[in-house]
Amino acid sequence: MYRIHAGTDGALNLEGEIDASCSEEAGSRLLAAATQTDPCVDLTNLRFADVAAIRAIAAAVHLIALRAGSIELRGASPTFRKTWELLQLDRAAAARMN
Amino acid sequence: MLSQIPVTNGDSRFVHEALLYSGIDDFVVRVGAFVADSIEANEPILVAVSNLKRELLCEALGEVPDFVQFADMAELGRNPGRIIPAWRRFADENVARGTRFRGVGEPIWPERTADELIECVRHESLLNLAFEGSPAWWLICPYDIKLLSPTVVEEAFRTHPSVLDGDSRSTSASYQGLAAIDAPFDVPLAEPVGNVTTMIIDRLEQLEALRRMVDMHSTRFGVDRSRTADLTLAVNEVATNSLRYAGGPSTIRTWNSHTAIVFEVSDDGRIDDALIGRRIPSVDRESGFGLWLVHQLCDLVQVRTYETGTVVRLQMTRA
Repeated sequence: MYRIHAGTDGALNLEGEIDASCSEEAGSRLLAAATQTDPCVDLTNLRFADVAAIRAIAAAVHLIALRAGSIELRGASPTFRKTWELLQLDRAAAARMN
Repeated sequence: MLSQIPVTNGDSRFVHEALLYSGIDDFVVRVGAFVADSIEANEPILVAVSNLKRELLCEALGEVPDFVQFADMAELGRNPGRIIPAWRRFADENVARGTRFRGVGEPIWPERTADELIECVRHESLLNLAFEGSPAWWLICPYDIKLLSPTVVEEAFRTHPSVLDGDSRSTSASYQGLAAIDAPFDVPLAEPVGNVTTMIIDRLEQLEALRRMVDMHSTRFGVDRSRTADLTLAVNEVATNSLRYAGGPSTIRTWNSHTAIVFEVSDDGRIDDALIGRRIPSVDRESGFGLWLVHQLCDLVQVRTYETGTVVRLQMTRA
């Protein structure tokens, strides 16, 4: 349903669809996978994320940012961005959304 | 010259009044007087009306101070379920400053569909519940008795504790009261017409198939990619809540009218919180995001709790 893998440019690619059946697991796996300094999570091929998934991603990137100093999110869909802002995660999670 | 309307004499509670007016000129005179009085009293005010009415008010009032804010009700109130959170934001800002404040909200206009009108009336009722016990502020809701049907105007008397008509204020004898407003909302929903597609799910693993169905029907109806993605998320959220809290099965139906595609999620659970989806969830909460987000994403949300269970309908127009 979803997968996390390192891209050729060092970014972590989060791909597929994440809903209530796997959102907690996806957040934990993202947190475990982000080991590099100045990490970047690429969401270009994340076709769907529900509210629980977006909150799990926010919680994970917040912890990654605390550990690594900063984190970049890129390639998010318009619906992901809108939900991120509506849930005020742009204020709560220390991530740069590009 | 703007005519005067009665002032509340420093009421210490939330005052929610319907203001009956007759035609656009009367609107400008009477609502303009309310705004002018707010300016005179140095009380911040948010005026949520159509852009046309905003322009006419500004023309009549001349230069207004910064504490007079306007919102386009056609956008803010497209889904009436979004209006209470907007008032809440405005109220919280002013309560934090320790100032009294006012509002003008006109969510009902003649072009509203029958479904929208019911949700607007529900919104007007819920305002009383949402701000019960809040610090004092004064909200008037203009109703155009020249253009609206008598039935709609009658509802204004049921949803507002008092009514301003002409130069007088009267307590509404037919105001329904907080107990009735807080009771499960069980107004019947119209049966769908035309083709109806049904899907029944009882496991979270079936949500992916549901999303395919939403995407297909929404795209076929002509909703663009961005709004189809919003609708897919919204239906997914309601179905997820249904499976989580009612335990399944959840029945999903879809059909379309001339103007909107409808998705309905029903189950045998109950929603007892009248204000569900109309409170702004704080970031640190673990729940309460689903229906609130759904209200932000969809053009209309209809929530009903019957003896037999709960029905949530989501509507999205083509644009």
